[in-house]
Amino acid sequence: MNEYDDNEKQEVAKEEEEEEEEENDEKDLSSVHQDETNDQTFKQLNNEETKLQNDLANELKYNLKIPITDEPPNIGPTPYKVAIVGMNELGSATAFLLICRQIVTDVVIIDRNTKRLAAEYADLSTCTTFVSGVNVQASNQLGSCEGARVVILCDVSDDDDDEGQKTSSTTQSSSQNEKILSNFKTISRAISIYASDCVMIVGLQPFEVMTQLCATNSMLPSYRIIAPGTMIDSAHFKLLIGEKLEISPASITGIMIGGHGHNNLPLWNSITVGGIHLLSENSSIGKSYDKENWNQLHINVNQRQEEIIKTKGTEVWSISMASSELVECILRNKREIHTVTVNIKGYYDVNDDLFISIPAIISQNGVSHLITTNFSNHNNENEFSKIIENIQMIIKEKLKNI
Amino acid sequence: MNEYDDNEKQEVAKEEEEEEEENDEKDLSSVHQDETNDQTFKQLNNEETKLQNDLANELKYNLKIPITDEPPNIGPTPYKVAIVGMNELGSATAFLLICRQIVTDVVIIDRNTKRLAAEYADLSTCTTFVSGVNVQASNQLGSCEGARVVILCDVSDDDDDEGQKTSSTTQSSSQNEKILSNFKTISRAISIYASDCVMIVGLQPFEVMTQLCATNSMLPSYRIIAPGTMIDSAHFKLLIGEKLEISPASITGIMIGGHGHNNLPLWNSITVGGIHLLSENSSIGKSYDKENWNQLHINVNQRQEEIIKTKGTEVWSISMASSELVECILRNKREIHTVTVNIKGYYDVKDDLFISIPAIISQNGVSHLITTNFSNHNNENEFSKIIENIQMIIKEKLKNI
Repeated sequence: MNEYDDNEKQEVAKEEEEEEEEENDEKDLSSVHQDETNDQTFKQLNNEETKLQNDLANELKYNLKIPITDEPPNIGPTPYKVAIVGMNELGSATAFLLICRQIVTDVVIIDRNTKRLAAEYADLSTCTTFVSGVNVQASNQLGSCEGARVVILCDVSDDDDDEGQKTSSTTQSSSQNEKILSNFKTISRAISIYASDCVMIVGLQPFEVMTQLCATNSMLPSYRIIAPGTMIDSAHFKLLIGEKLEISPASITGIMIGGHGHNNLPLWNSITVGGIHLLSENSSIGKSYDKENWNQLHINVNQRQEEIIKTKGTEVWSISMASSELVECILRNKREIHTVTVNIKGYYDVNDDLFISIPAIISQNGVSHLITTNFSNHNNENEFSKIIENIQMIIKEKLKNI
Repeated sequence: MNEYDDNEKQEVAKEEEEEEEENDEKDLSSVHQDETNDQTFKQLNNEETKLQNDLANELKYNLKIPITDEPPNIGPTPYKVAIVGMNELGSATAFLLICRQIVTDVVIIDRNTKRLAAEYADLSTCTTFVSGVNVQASNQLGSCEGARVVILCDVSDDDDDEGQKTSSTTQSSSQNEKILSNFKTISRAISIYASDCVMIVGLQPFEVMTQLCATNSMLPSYRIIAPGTMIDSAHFKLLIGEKLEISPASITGIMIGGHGHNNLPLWNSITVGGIHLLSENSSIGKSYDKENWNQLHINVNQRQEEIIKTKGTEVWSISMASSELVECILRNKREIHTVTVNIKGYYDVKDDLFISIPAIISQNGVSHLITTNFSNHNNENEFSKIIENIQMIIKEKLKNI
């Protein structure tokens, strides 16, 4: 019995050696692409471990696991991979939310600031033990966004700047502002070269300025550059309508369009509650002579958003929530309508590129359709033209030195 | 036709008057709700509330035909959680509880009304994307009344906008004493307002804070827990998974003791797909182990240091662990987690001592402890050493309190 066992052990040992040789060679050839990504992946804490891995853990690995196949399926690049560039508050909250909602299978977090990146990677990776099915990778090289379906751009600060873009760029000094704009140009262009098939979600504010800058500088077509825009304003709006009527906001339809923040415009014609069209019930809704003073809601929406920016700097939870909804729309080709910041060149008497929030159908390749509206129902026409002018002036002002 | 319409309008007007009288009835039956409204922070809606009674009512009663407004007879809201302290950790925990739809009511409480208003505005937009969760904000501690679970994340004063950003081990001693003394009063107050709640302590070091809570508040020890080494165990499973190239979801293995440097991996507990690692490699975890599994223990501590050095608090880890505990408690799951519990009476400990060991978490907090016989792997001495270390740390930290 003992002899037999020894012989078997020798045979098993030989097989293991052969398997190791075969497997390692095949693994190396078939996973060249993976090795390149690993070089770029930041693994400072695992350096010592990797050295030991090849000679010691292999033994345990091959004793425990009998390899059947290691060949990846022939489905092209990972279909549910998302990259998040910039690990400031907004970036890490977006990564956290994408992991928790299990919308994606691979999340790559990218940041030039390796100290911040390492801390965020360590913190986020524990979430994957509570919520399984999502693989988190960290890299300080922009090239790791290759193959991502969606790239969410949250921060473009330099690697010595630990705070990152905490405050909206409307409140920063002009030199800081120009640094951000110039960093943004190079980074958005680089991303569009590495991940040429991606949809870019721009998380930096003001959305209208940044999306325009992205369109002029990167190689991405306009329909693949979006920003959360007035999704957030519409959410505040529905909440306030719900509070006024004591009805859940989930049963309220109503949108705001235009610029995120002060240049937003509520479409009173769009509000429906349980089948009842509010404008038909109260034809003076939203006007200054409205006895029920619905226009107060518009003022309150702007007050709430100012409140957040004044204290927190960025609307972290709102933007990350809206971005995750958009990611799910894109990856699952949902064709939902959201009021996101899109290019309206050719409509509303606009002849050049202009990014502003109007309802648009979001599908697997970004913006597939725009929904234009005839304002004459409620005389919003002049207001929207005024907003377009305001935004064009803001963009000209901000980008005058670029 | 016109006459008829006029008559109808008069009738409708009369009905509206009658319905407004019904408002009095509503006021009587919802006195409790009005009290809560007084405490709820509604700075932005002041003007709206003034208009509401005379203008929006008309629209409300034209749109909605009231059938019943009587709340069901099921006692206080069974799925209500309060989060005290809206620093980074507090707002991340609130965000996660909303997104995972574990609770129906979230009350966010903070003395600093500026910070509170900003967080409330930001978090409330999430409820339009993820429905079914009601968020309320209050700057009064009394609003935690009726909460099943209270998560304590920050005890800073109302002029301190940053809040407790860094772990209390890295702050100056005067700041530290301020935090400890604030913590004493706040935990006691919470235990009086929400006397039936389970308190999850999010401030670090967990062992010191849970002990302080036990001595100062009116809560029994089994209703005071902290995430403890749930976080260390998560890092541990991740690293084992990386070493073996297996998903951490298929790996069982725990660390006990103090969160951070006083943690202890239980090598006897690691099972991977039915294979007990200690039986395969009897030297696992020892210094003479050829495969150097002990390196994983060092790496876990390195990772946690990395987070605290740069971020100050392990925001995502603690909020994730807290939300798992909230779900355990609200759904009476009776799952076993390695949380910071009181081990008085076990392991030769005679007084109160909070340390992480496996415990069964159910609807009333900690229902059972799982004690282990260490002799399988000679961890006995190591655990006694850890107990001594923690007792020394607690004595050092609480010497002026």
